[in-house]
Amino acid sequence: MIRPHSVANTFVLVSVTLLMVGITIWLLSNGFQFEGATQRWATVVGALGSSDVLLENLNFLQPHLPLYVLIPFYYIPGLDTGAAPYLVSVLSAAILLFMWDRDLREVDISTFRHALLAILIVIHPAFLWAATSGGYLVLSMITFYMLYRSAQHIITEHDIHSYISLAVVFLFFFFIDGSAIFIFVALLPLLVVIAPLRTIMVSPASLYLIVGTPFAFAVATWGYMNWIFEGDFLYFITNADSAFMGGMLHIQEYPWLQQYGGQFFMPMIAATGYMLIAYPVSIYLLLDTMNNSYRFRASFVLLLHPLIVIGIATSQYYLKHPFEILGLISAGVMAELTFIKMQTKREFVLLVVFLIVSSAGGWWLFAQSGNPQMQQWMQALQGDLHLNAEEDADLAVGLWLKHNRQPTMLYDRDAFRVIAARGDAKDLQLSFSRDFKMHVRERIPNVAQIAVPDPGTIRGRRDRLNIRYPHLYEHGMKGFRLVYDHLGWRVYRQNHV
Amino acid sequence: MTQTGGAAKLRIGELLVSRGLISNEQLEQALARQQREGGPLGHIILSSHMVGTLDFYDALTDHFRRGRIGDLLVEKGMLSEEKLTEAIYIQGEWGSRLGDIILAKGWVSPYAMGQTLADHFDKPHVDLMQNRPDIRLLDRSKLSVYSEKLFMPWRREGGLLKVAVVDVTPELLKLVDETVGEPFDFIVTSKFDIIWLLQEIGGSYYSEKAVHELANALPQYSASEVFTSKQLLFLFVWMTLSVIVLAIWPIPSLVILNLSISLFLFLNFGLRMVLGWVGGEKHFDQFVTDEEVLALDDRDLPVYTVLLPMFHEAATLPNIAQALRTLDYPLSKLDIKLILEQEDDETINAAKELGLEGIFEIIRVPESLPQTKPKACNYALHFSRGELATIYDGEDAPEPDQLKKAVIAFRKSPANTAVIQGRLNYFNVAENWLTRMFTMEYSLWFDFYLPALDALHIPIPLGGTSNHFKMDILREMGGWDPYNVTEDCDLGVRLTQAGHRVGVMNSTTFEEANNSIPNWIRQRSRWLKGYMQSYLVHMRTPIKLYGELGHVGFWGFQFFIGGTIVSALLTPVLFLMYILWLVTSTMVFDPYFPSFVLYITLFNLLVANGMLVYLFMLSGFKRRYFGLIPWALTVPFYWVLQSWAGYKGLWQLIHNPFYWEKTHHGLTTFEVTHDVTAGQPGKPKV
Repeated sequence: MIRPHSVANTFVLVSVTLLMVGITIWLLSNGFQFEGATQRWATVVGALGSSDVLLENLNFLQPHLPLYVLIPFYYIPGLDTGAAPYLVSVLSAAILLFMWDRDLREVDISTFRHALLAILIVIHPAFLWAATSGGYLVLSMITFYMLYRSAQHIITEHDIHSYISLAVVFLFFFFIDGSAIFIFVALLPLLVVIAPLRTIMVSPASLYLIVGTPFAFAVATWGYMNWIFEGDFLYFITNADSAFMGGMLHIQEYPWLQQYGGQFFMPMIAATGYMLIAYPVSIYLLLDTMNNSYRFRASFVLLLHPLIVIGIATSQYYLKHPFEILGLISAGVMAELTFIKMQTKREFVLLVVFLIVSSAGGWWLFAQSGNPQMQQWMQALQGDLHLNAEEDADLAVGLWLKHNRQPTMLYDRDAFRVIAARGDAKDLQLSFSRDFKMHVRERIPNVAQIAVPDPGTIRGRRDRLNIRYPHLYEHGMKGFRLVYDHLGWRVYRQNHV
Repeated sequence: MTQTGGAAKLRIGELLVSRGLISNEQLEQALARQQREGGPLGHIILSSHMVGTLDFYDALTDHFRRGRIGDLLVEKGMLSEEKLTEAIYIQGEWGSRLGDIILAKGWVSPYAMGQTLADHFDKPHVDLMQNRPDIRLLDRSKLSVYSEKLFMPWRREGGLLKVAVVDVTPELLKLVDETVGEPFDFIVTSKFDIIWLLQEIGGSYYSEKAVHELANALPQYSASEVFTSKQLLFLFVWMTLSVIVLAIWPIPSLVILNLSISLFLFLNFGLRMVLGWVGGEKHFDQFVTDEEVLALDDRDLPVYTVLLPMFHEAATLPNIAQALRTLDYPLSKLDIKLILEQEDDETINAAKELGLEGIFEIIRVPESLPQTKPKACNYALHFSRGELATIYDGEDAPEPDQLKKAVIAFRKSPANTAVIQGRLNYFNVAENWLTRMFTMEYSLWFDFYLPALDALHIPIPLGGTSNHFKMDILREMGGWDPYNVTEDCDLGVRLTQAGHRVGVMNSTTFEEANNSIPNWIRQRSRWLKGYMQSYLVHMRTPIKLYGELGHVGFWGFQFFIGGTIVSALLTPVLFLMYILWLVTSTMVFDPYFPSFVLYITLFNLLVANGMLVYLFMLSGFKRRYFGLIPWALTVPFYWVLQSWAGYKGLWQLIHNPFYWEKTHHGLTTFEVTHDVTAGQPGKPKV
């Protein structure tokens, strides 16, 4: 019998959501900032603040859906401080929890057990990181959750809806996360575990076509958009700034890639170790379902799939850190919990124990092997991170530009933190704008201000304005005067302005 | 033979007196008249209005009856003892009358059965073709009643009206009594005598009704007028304004046009996605289960009329006859009408040569315009006796339990359900590219779209066959519109407007997919022309339509019916522009596609078309036609054919609106079969 949805369950989830909001505020107040979140927000701000609001201004070097979800927040007053990505993260995590709650109704558990499970899910560092860091990992988790639910439905129901769901989830996944291609490829061999044997025996090709065609269309669509707007079908995987390249061009920055890049089995083995520490609950679920073919198949896929993804993504020098994928297991476990029956007290207690152990292991692993941003996040969580805004070059110039509003040329690819600090892109002439393209054709651009970073830095060398006007930073330009010079940023203003 | 002999006379009189139907004085008067004028006493009592025919035979049935029908047939050597035993056993199963079972099995001819029935009731058996009725006695306004209930006033003898009947039941006698409105006696004839004679005498009446009944009674729903004057005026004003606006603001107006088209196609795509999802619900495939069919008691089944309109289809006749014989439905409760055009000697002769059982009746439709299937069906409705009715085409192979499923579906559906549409699919799936495309399209249409339309309360354009009607509602609606070349689509919308429900069920009829492009174009152009007719008819009063269909129904109609037409007509224009842009990289179109229009157009081009292709794949997957799935990638070429047919249909709508582009059947090299399951499409004929 399915219990009527209890108000208490909703209360628990609302409380958990408020807790996540509180943690996010705490993190931000301690100076934590996620680069990815700032970059996404700056991209949205830049595109929407432009004189021509165009889709192509969002560029095609990263999946677009995480940008689209930010768009409504651009128009909400008070969010120009760059808090929107964090708000979206928390809201998305809440949506995931409510989706899980809805699906959990199929399993007959008490409110107490429900609340306990919810808390244990949320306190796992992978979930909490995704929910409070402002990244789009939580969107990937929602998609991953739906992916597993679809896979479970194929196993049990194998109705047409479950196949459509799986296929459409993959379609959306491509527009959410650059690693979707690896998640997709890794699932292909596992489809034989998911799909009914009869269909596999009769026509395996049809199965793959049904599951894979929308994803193939998504990739083709993206390539076509790249061709239309950037002139190259493969622009999104050949451009050095592309998020679809992962860590390929920056191997030296990522220990994981330095150690395992280009290999398949070794990172899989290493990731298995990571998983055993951070998600021993996956092993428990597998062992617990040995006697139930349906549940066992689902648990088996949940266990193996992320490991294969890690193997493939690392072999292609994409994956910067195993937690980019391992974090998705939290969503997989959530889906798994909607599928298993926790009838006996013994079963439930064991599950709780393994969830607690998973959380503890996860925190230990985060502390030991987290990337610099994860480390900062943990420090901020402990209240130990205190960034000095006055020493932050991008923040300083961004705030200065905010108070000195003039039409300003700025090469935005590496200056996203400047844009985010400024709060909007009004009067900024960014690289995709017609004005920018027109001005860089002139020997002396007719613009009120030009902002350039120090060409002696890596970023400064990549800055297109420095490339076009190589002496600008050092010597200025005829008709312009230096109005800002601080921490490697200079702003020149036309004399008559 | 009527009653003779003094003892019987006394007994009749005594019986009537003892029942209180006549008084002793009346009996004496009757006897006195008999002595004066001669003739049977019963005849005199009836003609003197002393008692009604119904009461008379109610009191005297046993008096007249001689033996039992089965025994009489055995006695006459027309039926073996074994057959009689079998018939009695079947009677227990089916709950039909013994005579109907024997006729349905073809063990005795209808003529011989008529003779036996006459003997049984001790009445004369009359061959109406030899002893023709007095046509002055026929009430023309009641020809439909005669043909439906199989009786007709024959002659007046001794002042008493004699009515020719095929069967004798209290219900029929009551109906005859109400219809003729005077005392009568009956004689027995065979059913084909009545059918043929009524067609001969009342052919023009039935034709007139078949062609004009809807146009006369409900002209607003008749497609006999293609464009109403208001529609023409609207079209004129709209076009004039468009030209003016285009001349003054060429670029903005073309941008608005592009935007409108893009949005329409976007919403059309959205609707199809919703339909694809909703229609994929598992419960639609289990609406009527095999267990429910097995649990059905045959004795409770109603009489089912099967309409089989055919034209120059002699070759397919044996197949459909066999398919109908093998239906899992009591044969005695089948009322099958082979509806043939009078000049189609080829098919008529083929039907005669087949020596079909008594459940098959040939209805010859007199020549008249428009020569359309709906007119033929309307004509045949006058002769139909079923409580439920369905239509099959000559090349159809319905699943054997379809009629039973329809009965169950009606029982499970709301009371206002007027029609249940079965699924259509094809047995020659893998014959060539066209049949593959056609199969996927039909699978998508009937397995996904129509169930979803039903669930969302959007008017369902009925398919050409396998739609199962409640006969009384069908008649109430005036049947099909003979001027509409997709009368089925029109009727579906009309029924919804009238507050009836159109449902769907999970039983499939397998048909022959068109395997020739010219033939396909002919068929599809007719369908699209019919959709245009239906759209024009129902949009004569759009506000009224909105009120009748509601928000979802109205917009669903716009996008599902209108969207099909618009998509077909726009596809080549958009493809052409795209190819031109792709090949020449021209910037001519740039001003007309500002960014927001471009994005929607790109979405339609890439995502919408991609997902529509995917829906085709899903249709093959759901039907387990796995081999079709890769072929779905070629569906854009099929859309081009669709557009070709669309323009042909549009041309015909203007120049020859009521012309019925005949689809040629029997072109396939595959066996006609309903056994197209579990990924085993039909096989070529050996």
